Amino acid sequence: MEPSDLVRQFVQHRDVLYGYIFALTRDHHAAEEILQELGMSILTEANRGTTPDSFMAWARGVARHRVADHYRRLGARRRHEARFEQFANAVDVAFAEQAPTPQDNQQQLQFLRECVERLTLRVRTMIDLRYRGEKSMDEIAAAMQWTAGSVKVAMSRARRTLGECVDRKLRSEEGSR
Amino acid sequence: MNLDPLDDILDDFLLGSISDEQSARLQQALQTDPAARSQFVRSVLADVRLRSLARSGAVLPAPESLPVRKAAQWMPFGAGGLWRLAFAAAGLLAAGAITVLYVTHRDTGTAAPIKAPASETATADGWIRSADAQAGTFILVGHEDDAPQMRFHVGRATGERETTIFLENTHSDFQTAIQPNRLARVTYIKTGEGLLAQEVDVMLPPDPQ
Repeated sequence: MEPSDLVRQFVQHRDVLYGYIFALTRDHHAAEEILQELGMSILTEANRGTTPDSFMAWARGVARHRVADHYRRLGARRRHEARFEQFANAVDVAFAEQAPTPQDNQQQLQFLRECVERLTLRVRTMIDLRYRGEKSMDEIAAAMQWTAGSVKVAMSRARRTLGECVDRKLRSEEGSR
Repeated sequence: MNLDPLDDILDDFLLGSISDEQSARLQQALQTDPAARSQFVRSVLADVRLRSLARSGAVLPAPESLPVRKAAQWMPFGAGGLWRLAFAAAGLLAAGAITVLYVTHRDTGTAAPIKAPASETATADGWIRSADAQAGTFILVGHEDDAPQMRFHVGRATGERETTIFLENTHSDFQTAIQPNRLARVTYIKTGEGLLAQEVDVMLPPDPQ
């Protein structure tokens, strides 16, 4: 692998790496910040001529260190260190086994876009409040005049509906090949 | 109700409300079950993609980006048959209105022209912020606090097509249907006087489940 390939690979895999970081932090703001730090680290390593055999395994390792730094900054890691390490190991195995290729990821994003358009206006409003408005369950409940429990159930159903829709499209796509 | 315990745990995980006990169960599932690992990665990445789409405005376009869809493009999504039925009704009404205007114009020569060609028809989704039944106007906004407002008027002037108003997919009137804090989809055209609503579909706030 050429050093310049590191940056190209980072750009190609950044969505999956973001997902990996989010899985470890469960905090989108932290995940965005750590992804930027990861990008800087990869740029530095590219300039040093680092050439890992497997980009994703190496990048996940670097990302995991950045996540550990994040917890250290929060002062929370020492208390949860053992648990974090075990959980991070499990997440790492999951992403090593299951992470999609950049092409598959893009296709699933396109399918998701098509599936979202089939949702009712109410459900799309709820999703928009959650993901773009970054509202809490209670805030969404107030805006929608629902209970927080109803929002949680509706969000779960929406995710499931979208997942099934994307799966159907993937199966259809595979069947047509 | 969600019957799959892992689904429940993943929902809480993605909402950031996972308990210590759930966290331990998730970790154990990830360590021992390949199917759980697959479901975990798919759920996390689906959540990330959904966030990405929402932030790009693809889930619910903000009013400032409207008009975003012409009528023919928004027909296929939404509540399916009901939306299509409403659209078909609007089409029939439009055809009727054009016929009436044509006949009126031919007989008397006094009818005003239609103020915008049908090709300018667009739709906007959002919340009704305020309504003035007397003036026949209402304001629609996106959910964001700083989202710009869109002010619509209903068709009352000579030559304007009367606005078709639905409340929960049933024909209604301005006073009953167009009230603050309700979701609405407005099909409109731009005229010299502003935005003329041709059709307003209003949804009542849902009942808590």
